[in-house]
Amino acid sequence: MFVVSWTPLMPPAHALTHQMRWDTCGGQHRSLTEIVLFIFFSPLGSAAEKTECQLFSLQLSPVCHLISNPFSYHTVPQLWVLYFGMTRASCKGLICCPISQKIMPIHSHLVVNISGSGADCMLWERILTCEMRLYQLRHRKRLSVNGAAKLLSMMLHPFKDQNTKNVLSTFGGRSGPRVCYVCSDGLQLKGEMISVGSGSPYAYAVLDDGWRWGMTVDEAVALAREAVFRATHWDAYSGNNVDLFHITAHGWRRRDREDLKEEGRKYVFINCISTKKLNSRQYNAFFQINICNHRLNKLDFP
Amino acid sequence: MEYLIGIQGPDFVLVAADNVAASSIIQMKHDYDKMFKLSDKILLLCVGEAGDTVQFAEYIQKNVQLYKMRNGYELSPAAAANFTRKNLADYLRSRTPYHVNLLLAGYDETDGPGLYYMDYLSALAKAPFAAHGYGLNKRFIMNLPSFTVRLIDKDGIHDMEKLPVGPK
Repeated sequence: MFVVSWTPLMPPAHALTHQMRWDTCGGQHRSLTEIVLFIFFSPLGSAAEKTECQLFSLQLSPVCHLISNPFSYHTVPQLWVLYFGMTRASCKGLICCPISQKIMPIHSHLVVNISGSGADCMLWERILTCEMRLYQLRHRKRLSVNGAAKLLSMMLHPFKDQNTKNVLSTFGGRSGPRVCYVCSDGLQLKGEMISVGSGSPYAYAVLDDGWRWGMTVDEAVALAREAVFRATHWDAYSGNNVDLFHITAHGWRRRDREDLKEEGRKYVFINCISTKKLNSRQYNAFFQINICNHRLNKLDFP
Repeated sequence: MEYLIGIQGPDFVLVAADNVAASSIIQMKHDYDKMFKLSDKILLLCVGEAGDTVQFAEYIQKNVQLYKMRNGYELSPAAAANFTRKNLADYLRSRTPYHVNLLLAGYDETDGPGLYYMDYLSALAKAPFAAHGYGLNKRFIMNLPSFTVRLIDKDGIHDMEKLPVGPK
C-alpha cells in the first residue's frame, strides 16, 4: 500500500494560498469556502534550492513517466493515474541536487511533473497554481483537465523562443483520469502513457513492453519502478530517488521516496547466488560491471 | 516527418493525414488528429512547427465560426482559404511568424469541391491534388504507421476508416 508522506524540501511556491494538507495529501473533496493556509518551513531545503536557482540554471532533465489506467474489470471501477519521476537536478554536467522534487501537486486532483530548465519549470508551476486557484474562486468549480492543459499551453506560447523547456502535466479529475503533455514550444498532447526528459527513450522501452489496458495498481507500480530503474541506469541525467504518485477520484497519494539502486543490486545478487551462477570472484567482478538483466520485484527463489 | 495529402474528385475531396505526434525523435502519440473542422464542409489540415500548428489552426477555426455567428452564413472554402492566407501573410513579416503548411479542403454549393494548398510562406494554390511531406512507405527512413482519412462531399465530412500502413 502507499505510504503517505510529504517531503520537507518544498519550494516556496506552496506558501501561497493553496488548498493542501500536510499529511494525507489532499485526499478529500473540499468546499470552496474553506481556505486553508499552510506555510511550510524548510530552511535548509528551500534556502539551498533558492541559492542554486539564483546562481545557476537548474537543468531538470530526467525521466517523468505517466501511466493511465481507466478501469479494472474485477472490482469497483477504479480510475487512476500513476505518476513517477526522478529526483536528480543537474547543472553543467554536475548533479546539482539529488533530492529535488519534480512532481508538484497543484490541488488535490492535479499533479504537475516537470522536465527541462528547472527555474522556468518551477516558475510556470507557480503561475499555473495561481491561475487554477483564481479560476476556482471566480467560477466556483475547478478548471477541467483539458482546460488546464490549454491554459498552460496558451501561457507558454509567447515564450516559445526563450529557452523554457518541457513542462509535463498529469491530471486526474472529475472527468476521469487524464494525462496531458504540455511543451514550451506549444505541443500539447493527451495520451495514456507519456514520458518526457532525457531518459524517456529508456523508459519508453520498458513501458511499451509491459503496459497494458487493465493493469492493477501493483502491476503498474512494479512496471514504473522497473522503468525508472532502467532509465537511471542508462541515462546520466537521471538518477537518485524515485517519486511515485497515485491519483484517483479521491485525490493524490504519495509513496515514499525510494532509491532503487541498492535494491537492484541486491536483487541481482540474490538471484545469481540462488541459481549458483557466481563464485566470489565473479561476484566482485559482476558488481563492478553492474549489469542488470533481470526484472525487479520478481524475487523467485528456487 | 509529417504527411498530408488531398485529392479532389468530381464531387468530393478526399484528404488524409498521418497520425504521429512527435517530439524530436520520439513518437509521443500514434493517434493524433491533424485535421481541424472549420465548418460543416471545410477541413483544415495543418502540419509544421509544434505549437504553431494548433495555435494557428484554432485561430482560423474560431474566426470562421465567428463569421458564421455574426453573419448567419458560413464562409465558402475559397473565402476561408484566402482568409487563412491573409493571416499567414500578415504574421510572416512579424516577429512571430507561424511555420505551418496547410491543406484546406471544402465543398461549396455553387463551386463544388475545392482543395487549396498553402505553404508556410503563405503561397496559396487551388489544385486538384496536393501533398505535404514525404509519403513514401518503402523507401523513406521513417515509418508512418497509420493515417486518418476523411471525405468531404455535399453531405458533409465523413470519416473513412483509419489506414494502418505496416512495414512490407
